[in-house]
Amino acid sequence: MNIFAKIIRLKDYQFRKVKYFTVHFDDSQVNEFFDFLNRMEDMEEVIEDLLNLNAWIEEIGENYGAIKSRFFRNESIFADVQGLPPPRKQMVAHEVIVENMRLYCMVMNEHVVFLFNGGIKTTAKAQDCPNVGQYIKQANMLVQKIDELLKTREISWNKFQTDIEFDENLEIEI
Amino acid sequence: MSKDRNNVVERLRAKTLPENRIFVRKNLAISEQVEVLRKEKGWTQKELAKKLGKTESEVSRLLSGLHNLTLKSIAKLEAELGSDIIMTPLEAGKKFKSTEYVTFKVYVSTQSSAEVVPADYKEVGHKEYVTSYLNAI
Repeated sequence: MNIFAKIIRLKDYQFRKVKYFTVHFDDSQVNEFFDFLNRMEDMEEVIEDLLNLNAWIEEIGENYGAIKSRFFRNESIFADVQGLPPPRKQMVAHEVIVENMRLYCMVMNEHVVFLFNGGIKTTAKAQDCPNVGQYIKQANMLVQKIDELLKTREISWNKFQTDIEFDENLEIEI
Repeated sequence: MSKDRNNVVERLRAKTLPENRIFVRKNLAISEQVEVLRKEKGWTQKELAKKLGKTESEVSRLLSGLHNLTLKSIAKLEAELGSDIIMTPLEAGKKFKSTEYVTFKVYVSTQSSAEVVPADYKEVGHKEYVTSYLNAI
């Protein structure tokens, strides 16, 4: 059964240098990034890491920009599962690491980032982890779909590629 | 009472202490300083990692702005890069105390010089220096 998701502009995460987005699945109460925040908020042992992560998202959003080579790590399903780099020019999912916490995302460029879901990684390889395995697969699927929507211009860049535009009813099918 | 899952951002922002923001701000400032020094040296990220005896991935994680950097890690970075990365205000005071800064104003206009010299020009006190400097360039 296919699941549909809407693209959401995170209104509390629109900064000078980075605009953040997420997706909201039809069958979920909250969007994916909020689901991640809520689940991590309930885990007392990682709340400090979560607060730092949230402050970091805001700080790079306001003052640094989303510089892939410095702040984000490639977490492509191609690299992890097949041990191969992704095909050329194909966008891949990235991850943000805070101790054992992982947040999966899509860095479209220095100014536009999708924040998806994540959790506490407990195994050496992310795809083997019962906590984050599903989210890395989900992130990689979403990246492919969003990349397709960019190619078909259903998601378009603004003039200076500092923001994206899309129909608020636009749905991703995965 | 169950929590409102849509208000999580407000809750987290309310829980965020000044120390969380300071941790992130200083962490990113260190990362930025290392990046500037690395580029000045003309080193790739891989070369820096090799000099630190770490993998590129480990260094990337170290300098992501979210890692709890130890003083030992910072000392190693400073030793390899041959420069300070962090400095206390006291150290900075000592280091820059002997540096003399000279400031002067330069007035630029398309009108003839007789018309544009402002009334406070003489008060700048560096007329001769400025004149000789401008003549020299």
